[in-house]
Amino acid sequence: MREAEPALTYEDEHLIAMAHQIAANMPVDQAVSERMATHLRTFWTPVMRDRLGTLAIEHPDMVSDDVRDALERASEGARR
Amino acid sequence: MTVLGDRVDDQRDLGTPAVDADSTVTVLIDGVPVDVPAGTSVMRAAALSGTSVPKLCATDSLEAFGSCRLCLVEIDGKPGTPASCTTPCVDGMSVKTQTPKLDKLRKGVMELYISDHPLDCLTCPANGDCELQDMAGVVGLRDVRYGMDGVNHLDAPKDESNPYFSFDESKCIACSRCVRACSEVQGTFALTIAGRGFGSKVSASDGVPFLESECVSCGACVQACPTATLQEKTVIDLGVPTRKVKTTCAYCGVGCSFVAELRGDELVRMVPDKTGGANAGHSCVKGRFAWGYAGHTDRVTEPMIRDSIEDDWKVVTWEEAIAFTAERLSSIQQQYGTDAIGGITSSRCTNEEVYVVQKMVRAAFGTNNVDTCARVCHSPTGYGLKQTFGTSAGTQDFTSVADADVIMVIGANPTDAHPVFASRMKRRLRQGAELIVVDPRSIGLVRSAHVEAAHHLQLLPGTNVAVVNAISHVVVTDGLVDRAFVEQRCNPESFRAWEDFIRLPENSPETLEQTTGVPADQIRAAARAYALAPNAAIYYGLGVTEHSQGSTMVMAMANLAMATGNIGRSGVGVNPLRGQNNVQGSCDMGSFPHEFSGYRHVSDDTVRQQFADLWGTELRGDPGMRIPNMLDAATAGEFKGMYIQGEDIAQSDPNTAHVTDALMSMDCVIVQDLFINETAKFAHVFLPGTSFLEKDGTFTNAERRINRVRPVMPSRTGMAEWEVTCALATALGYDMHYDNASQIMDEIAAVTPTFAGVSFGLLDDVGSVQWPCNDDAPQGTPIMHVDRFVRGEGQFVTTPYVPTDERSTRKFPLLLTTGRILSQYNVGAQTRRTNNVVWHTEDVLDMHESDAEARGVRDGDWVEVSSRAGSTRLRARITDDIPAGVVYTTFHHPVSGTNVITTDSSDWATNCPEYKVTAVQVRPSSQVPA
Repeated sequence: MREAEPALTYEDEHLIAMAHQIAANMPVDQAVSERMATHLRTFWTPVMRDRLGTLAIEHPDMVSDDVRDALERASEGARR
Repeated sequence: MTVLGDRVDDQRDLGTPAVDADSTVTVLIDGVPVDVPAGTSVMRAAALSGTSVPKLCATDSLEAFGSCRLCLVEIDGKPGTPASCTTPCVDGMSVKTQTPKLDKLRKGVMELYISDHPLDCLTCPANGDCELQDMAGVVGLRDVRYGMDGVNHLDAPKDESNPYFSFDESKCIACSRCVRACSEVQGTFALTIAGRGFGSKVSASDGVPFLESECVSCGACVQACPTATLQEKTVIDLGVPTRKVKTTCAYCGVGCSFVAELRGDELVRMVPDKTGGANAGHSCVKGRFAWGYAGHTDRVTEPMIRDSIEDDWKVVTWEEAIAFTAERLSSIQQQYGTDAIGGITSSRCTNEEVYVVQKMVRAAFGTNNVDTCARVCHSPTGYGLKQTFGTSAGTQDFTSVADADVIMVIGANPTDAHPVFASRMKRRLRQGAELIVVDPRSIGLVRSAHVEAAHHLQLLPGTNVAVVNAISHVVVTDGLVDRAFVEQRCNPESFRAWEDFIRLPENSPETLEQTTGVPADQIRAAARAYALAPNAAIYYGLGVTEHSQGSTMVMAMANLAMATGNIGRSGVGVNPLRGQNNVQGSCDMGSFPHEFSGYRHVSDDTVRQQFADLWGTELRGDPGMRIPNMLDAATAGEFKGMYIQGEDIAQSDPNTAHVTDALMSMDCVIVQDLFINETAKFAHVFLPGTSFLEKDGTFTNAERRINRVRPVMPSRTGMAEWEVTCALATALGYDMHYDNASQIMDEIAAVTPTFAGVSFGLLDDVGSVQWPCNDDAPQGTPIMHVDRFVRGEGQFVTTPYVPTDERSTRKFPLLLTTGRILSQYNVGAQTRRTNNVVWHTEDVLDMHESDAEARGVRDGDWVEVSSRAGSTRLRARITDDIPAGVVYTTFHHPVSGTNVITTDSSDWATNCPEYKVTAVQVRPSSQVPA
């Protein structure tokens, strides 16, 4: 399966790494996805969030559940 | 001589320092009553009453010394003729400063001085600016009865070793002002009076030339010298200045005030301003002497363009350059979209210049793709302090350190990077404050003259958060939390969550000892010292922020300060030492892609509408790209144009190969700078910038102090930088115009609540103010969060220690950390073009002897330093200033390519690069860099 996935560029790898680094560093007393969603809405461009969303679909094994959940919440928040 | 920007009598020397006392006394000076604080010297009281007492060894920047015997006075009811500088006023005291007896005594003293002094006043460089000459006139000296033929010092040799000042021993009167300035003001103790009696003479270190001594060339001795003994070489070469302008230094975040002294439009010297709020008359080698780059032959003063970076530059008019740039940017946006361009603002530029660049990007470019060089230094400070305290700034003024009982310095090297503040700090340490240093290196503060750290936590690079968590663990488990402060000032839920977290065994010093490399007992001792001190202050630098956990670390320090009640009064606080002179200001001015000026998010509809109304255009509510995001987008082919104001990202940003790839991927790189820097090699447009000596505006220093930058000389380019920005914005279809820089500040004040009261007029009236400056604080705010935090309640944030991915491996077993040294500044674009190069001709790699020995490296050998990002070559220096397993270098010379080896690892919250931790290997190298 993995061979069939589109190859990751340096920029895509960097984007995924940044997202997981954010998730790993969230304060421990709060839900990671909720706080991370706020972070993504506050600091990331819509293009970066969209690209990460695309990567989460194209490379499901490379994007954690926390990051995926945060992205969904960030999108909901942005829509609101 | 009038000083432009000075207030009445600002530079007057009152002889002895001011005394801070609760009570006053009244004395009669030559029959005139004067009220002074108890403890004030008779000399100062006389000066305050309008009378001046002759003096030579006294100056109000130094404690009274009483050696010259010229300031003698008579006091009713007291025997003899005491020195007025060392005699404190007593209530009811009646002093006579002018009597026949005093005249005779003073004339006799002056006769002795002059009998051993060259009679070359007319050809002396200090002619007209010499206190000895002045005093000879004041006492009415007409001849010297002893002649000039006795034993004397008139043939004493000159020491010309220092590039900036000469030491002419033949003119020395042994008043000790230079020695005392070096000790009391600078705190280096490089000078002494060697010998006894007639053989007494000023000696640098143990009688070596100044350049070989411990002298740090701060200029305090030159400033203090009453004769031409210690004299700036520029004064010797050019003559005594004829006009003066007060302005602000453009180097580090201390933001020292200076009086620029000129002959016509030629700068002769920069003299530290004794009324400067940040520096109080002190300076360092950079601000005092290293300003020659402004007139360096490398300066480019005409705009240049080229179609391709393969082409030669073509010099054009401003109109052609602006039109070319506007056309390029417009066509990029038509082809690739609005967000395909952006800009970077500079912390070396004024608030006004920065404000118009971010305005141009948001209003004329139509995007929020604007960022600032603070991205690569103190962006975690902005994030961390806003989360916890509510605003992105340090809490104290510099004078606060004088009230600190324990000073914790974390990841900062003040004696090299913020030397004028370091002198304040060392003064307090000499008075007995306890010092904690948290740093992998043995920085200068760990042990130097009359200063020794009580605790040096020599942690492994990358473990800051673990160390501060362990300190906080001790505070909580030892019952050292200031419960009253926390209950009154902080959010209770956040505190409980933090307390539960920090109490966990995983945060104990013993558990973390292996991780941090710091023995648990050292952590516990330091924690208790900090928590039990009446006033404990934290000062930190880029050794905190330039890590993958930079933002977490800032919050961890804020947690510690709140938990121990060390916020909201003098002597405490969390204090970032900013790298560049206007880092604070460039951040304040709305340079971040998600914030308008005053740190208000672009998505805030009310705020955005306020800007939209004032600027007359719609504005975007979504965050723009940060610098690394822009660079990634460029290599991905989605970002094509960048306006770079006063930055050299090809040298200063990490992973040089990636940066240059990104720059080469763009169709329009615009560099606005003084010199053709490394980045300009990839540029299509070069817009010549102005040096700080040509700028009109303001800088905001690390203590939020807004200082005026006054034009000392006309712009060498014919335009102010903000005028160039306005011209480009207008050419892009967005009309932007100001008559002068003052109008820009008025607009900043109109849209930025923390600047609401700031104007050039106010700064001219009061000197400087610290924001917030508004109706609630019309004279500014020296100390923040006094009664409440800006955000209301202080917010504790749990700070889990997450090790960086950048760790030593078998392939890259050493950890490289980087920093700067005293004589050089940042990428060296300025300081390398001054005589400061005599102290630092190249960047070197510091290695512990065990690491060197294991690799067969000897002191002075060339070595190859490689990381996963790249490799470079440096000369090795074997030192025990760093622990085994760690290597250290600076990044002042482009040939060193230090950032070729730093990686794209960055702070999780802000993308501030992790300059302080790069896994590397070091090998001997037979190749020498070109």
